[in-house]
Amino acid sequence: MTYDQMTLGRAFTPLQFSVSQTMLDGFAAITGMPVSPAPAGLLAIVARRAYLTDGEMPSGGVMASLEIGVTAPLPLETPLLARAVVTERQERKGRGWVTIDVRFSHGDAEIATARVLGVWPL
Amino acid sequence: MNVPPQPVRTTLHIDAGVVSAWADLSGDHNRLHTDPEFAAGTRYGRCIAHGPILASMVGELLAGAAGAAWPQGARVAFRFVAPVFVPSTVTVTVAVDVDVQREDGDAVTANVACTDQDGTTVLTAVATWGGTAR
Repeated sequence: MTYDQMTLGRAFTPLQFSVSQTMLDGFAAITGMPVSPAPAGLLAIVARRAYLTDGEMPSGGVMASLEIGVTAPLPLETPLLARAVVTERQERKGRGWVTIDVRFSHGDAEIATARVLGVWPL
Repeated sequence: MNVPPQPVRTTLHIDAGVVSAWADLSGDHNRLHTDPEFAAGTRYGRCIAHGPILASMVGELLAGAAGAAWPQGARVAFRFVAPVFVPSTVTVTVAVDVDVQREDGDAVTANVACTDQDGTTVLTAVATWGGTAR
C-alpha cells in the first residue's frame, strides 16, 4: 500500500489471530527472554499485521514509534481480533508519516491497544 | 509493588540470523531488513534490524519488573530514534525513576535506553504501571 492509500480514517480489514505456543517459543528464542502474559513485542507484530491485511508496506518503510497499552493477559490458542484505523497522516522531510491506532479484543472485551507511527516512502 | 533493582541491563547481539528469524516469526520480510543489496540503495545504506526486536526485549524486561501488574494496565511508549544496523550489539538499560505512594496506589515509571556498541542511543521507552496507569 502506498502512502496515498493511507487515507485519514481508513479502517483496514480486521485481523483475526491467535497466540500460539509455537509463536511464543519463537519469540523467546530470538530475544532470550521469558515471555510475559501480554508480550509487548508480540503485540507489535500483530499491530503491524493489522494494518497490512489489505496490502504490503513498500520496502523502505519503517516504524518510528510505538505505544502499547495492555489491560488483560493474551489468552493462548484463542480467537482474537485486531482492528486498525489511520488516525493521522502528514508529509514531512520527504516522507509520509502515518499514525495507526489498533484495538485488540477478545470477544467484546478490549485487551490491548497500540498506536503505531509508520514512515512511508513517497 | 514489585520494583526492580536499578538499573537492569541486558544485551542482545543482532545479526543476520536474528533478523531472518524475526522476519519469519513476524511475517515482516521488508527487504530493508534482509536484502543488503536493496538496503545499500536506501537512505540507510545497510540492512537495519526490525524495531520490534528490541521493543520485545524491552517489553519483556519491563513485564518481568512489573510482575502481575503488567497485564492490568501497563503502558509503554517506544521511540525508535536511530537505526540498528546489522550486525550490532545493543545494551538495554532499564531504570525506575519514580515509585510514589498515591491515593490510588503505588505507580511506577521506568525509563529505558538502548545503545549500540558505539554508544549511539537507538531506542528509548517510557513505561508506567500501577496506580492511575490502569
